[in-house]
Amino acid sequence: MTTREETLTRIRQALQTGRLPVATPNDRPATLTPESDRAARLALFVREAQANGSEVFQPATLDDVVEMLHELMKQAGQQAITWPDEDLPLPNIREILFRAGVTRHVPNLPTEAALRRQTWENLDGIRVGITGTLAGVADTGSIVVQSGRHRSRAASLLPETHIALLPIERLYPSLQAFFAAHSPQELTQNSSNLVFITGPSRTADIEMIITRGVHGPKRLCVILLPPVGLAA
Amino acid sequence: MTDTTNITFYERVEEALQNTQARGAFDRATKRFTALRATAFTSLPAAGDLTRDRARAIRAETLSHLDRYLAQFADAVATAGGQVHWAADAAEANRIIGEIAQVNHVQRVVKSKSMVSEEIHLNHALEALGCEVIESDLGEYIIQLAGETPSHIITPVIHKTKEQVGEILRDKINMPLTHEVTEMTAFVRMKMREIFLTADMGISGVNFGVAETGTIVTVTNEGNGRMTTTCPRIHVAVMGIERLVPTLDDLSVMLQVLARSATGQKLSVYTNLITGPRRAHEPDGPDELHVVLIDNGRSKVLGTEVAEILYCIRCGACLNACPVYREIGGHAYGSVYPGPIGSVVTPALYGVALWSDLPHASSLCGACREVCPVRIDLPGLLLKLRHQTAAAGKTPKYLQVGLRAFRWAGTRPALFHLGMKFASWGSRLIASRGWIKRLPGPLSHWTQSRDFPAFAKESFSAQLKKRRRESGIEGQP
Ligand code: SF4
Repeated sequence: MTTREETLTRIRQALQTGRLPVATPNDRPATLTPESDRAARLALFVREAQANGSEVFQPATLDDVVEMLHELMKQAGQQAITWPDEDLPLPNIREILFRAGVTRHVPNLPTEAALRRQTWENLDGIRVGITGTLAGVADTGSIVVQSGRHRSRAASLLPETHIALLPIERLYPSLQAFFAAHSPQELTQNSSNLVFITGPSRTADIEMIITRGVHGPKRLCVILLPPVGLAA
Repeated sequence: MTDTTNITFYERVEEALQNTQARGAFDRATKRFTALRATAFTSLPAAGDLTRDRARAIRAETLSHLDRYLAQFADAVATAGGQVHWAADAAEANRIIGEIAQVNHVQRVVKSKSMVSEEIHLNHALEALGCEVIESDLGEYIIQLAGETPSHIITPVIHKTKEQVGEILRDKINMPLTHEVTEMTAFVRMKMREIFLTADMGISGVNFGVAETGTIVTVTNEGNGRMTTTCPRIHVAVMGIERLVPTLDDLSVMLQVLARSATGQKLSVYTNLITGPRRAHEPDGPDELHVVLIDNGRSKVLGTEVAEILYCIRCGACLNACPVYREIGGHAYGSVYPGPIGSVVTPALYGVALWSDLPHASSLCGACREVCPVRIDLPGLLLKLRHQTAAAGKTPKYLQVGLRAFRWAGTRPALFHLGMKFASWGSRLIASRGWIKRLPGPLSHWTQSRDFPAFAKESFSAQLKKRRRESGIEGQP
C-alpha cells in the first residue's frame, strides 16, 4: 500500500530540482468580472440561456405560471419529481401545482441496495422534474442547482423535462461573481452536489450532429420570477 | 502502458493515411472545433488573454506547491466523508479499485469518461475480476461496443460515420438499423437508463479537484457524469495527482477556459461539483465516495525539464489545432493520449526509450501553443524530448540515415553541388506546375498526404552569388 507520506515525499523531492517555470505574483491578475447592472444582467442571461437551448419564461402573473405548467404537464403526464414547498421560491407553490394538476413525488432513496434500485425504477418513468435554483449565471446562461435536505438530484436529472424556478435577484454576472458571493462552506458543507446546468443534455459525438436529451433532460425550462412577486 | 502492439508509429501513420473517410472526418471536426473555440474566446475580456494568463498562473502555483495542495485536498475529502486512496502506479490503482468492488460485491460498473482510467487499463482489470464494465459517454459506449479505442480525447468516435455507428448499434445491441442520429441517441438513452439504475458502482474521472473544499469536478454535456455519480450506491473517482486547483475561485477561472477550449461552449452543460458522499439528510446520491489519487509517473515528471506538461487540463484544443493530428487522427499515436499533448505526456510518463517516435510527430509549427488555455510551450517541450531521444541514441531511423548522409555530403562541397544539380533537374522532370505529387522510393511517404515543391532551377547559393554579382557585391555567400 502506498501511503500518503510516500507520495508527498516523492513530490517534494521532485520539486527540489526546480524545473517548473516560475510564476510570479503578477501572473495572477485580480478577478476579472465585468460589471453590469440588473437589467443588462437579465438581458444577458436570457440571451445566453436561449443560445444554449434553454427555454426561458418570464410570467407576469400567477395565472401565467399555472397556465404554463398546465400546458407542460399536459404533454408530459401529470406526475413530477419535485422539491418540497420551502425550496420552490414561489409563496403559493402548493396551490399552483395543485391547480396545474401536478401529482408530486418527493423522493427519498433507501440505502439498502434492492430497495434503492426499486425506488430508482419507480422514479424513472416520471417525465417532469421541478426544482428551485440557488442562482443563475448571466454570462453563461447557466442555472445553479444545489442538493440538500429533500432537494433531490433526481428532479433535475432523470425526467425528460426539467422546470427550474429562478428569482431574478439571484442572477450573478459571472461564475466568479457567484463564487465571490458564497462562502465555500455554504456551498459544500451540508450539500454533496452543486451543479451548473447550461442548457438541456446534449451530445455531438456522432458526426458532430447536435442531439438533445442523451442521458439528462431534453428540455430545460427556466421560469424567471420578478422580485416584486407575481400578481394574483 | 506498453500495448502499442508491435507495429511502429510509421506503420500506424500509413494505415491512418489510407483511411480517407476517417481523414476527412478528422479534418472537418478539428477545423470546426478550432473555429468554435476562437469564437468562444471573443466573449472574454481581451479575447481571453488575461483569463489564460491567470489560468496558467493557477496551474503554476498548484504544481509548484503540489505536496501542500494535495495534502489539503485529501484532508478536505475525508472531512466531507469521502475515503482517499493513494496509488503509486497503475497496478496499485487497479488493485485498490478492484478491492472496493469485491468488498461491496459489485457486479455492474458504469463509467463516465476518464482518461486516467484508460491510462491504467482499469476496465480490463475489473473485467478480470468478473465485473461488467460499461462506458456511458455516447461516443465511448459506441467505441466499447465496436471493441476499438478512442481517436480523440473529447469526441472519441469522430472517425466513424453515422452509417457505421448505426451498424454497430444494430449488430451489438439489436437496434433496428437507422441513419438517424436522434433515433440512435434515444435508443442508447433507454438502454443506458437501465444500466445506470442497476449499476452497483459508478466510476468517474475528475476534471479538477479543489484543495480548499475537497470538491471534485466532472464536466459533461450528456449528463452521464451526473448519472454515474448519482445513481449507483458507490462512487469511485479516479484522478491524477496533478489535477488540483487551490480554491473555488480558481476553479471558476479554469472552467471559463476549459469548455471554450474543448468544444467552444462557454460552459459545458453539466459542470458538476461533488463534495463527499450523500449526507444523511439528502434524498439521493451515492452512500460511499472513494477518491483514488494516482501518481503513475507524474511525480517523476515533476522533477524533469518537461514538468510544465503537468499544467495540462486535457481540453483537446492542441489536437484540433495540430496539422499532423488533422491528417493522421488519434489512433496512429498508439497511446491513450494523442496529438501534441500526447507526444509530450506519453514519453514523459513512460520513457522516451519506448516512445521515441512521438516527439517527432510534429512539425513544430506552434499552433498548439497558440491555442493552449494554460499556454504550455508544447513545441519547446517536444524539442527537449527530441534532444533526450537523440542523446539516448533513439532518433528515428529515417532521420539517422538522412542526417548521416547530409553530414557526409555536406563536408564534400563538390559532391554536394553536384547532388543539388541532380535534384533540381530530376525534381522538375517529375513535377507538374512546380509541384510533385509522388516522390520516388523512400521519399514517397512525404507525398502520401501532401505535395512537394519542385526544386528551383538554381540553388540558393547559386542565386545569391548571381545577385551579388549583378549588384556588384562580392564575397563569399
Ligand atoms: S496541452 Fe494545452 S491545449 Fe493540449 S490538451 Fe492540454 S491544456 Fe489543452
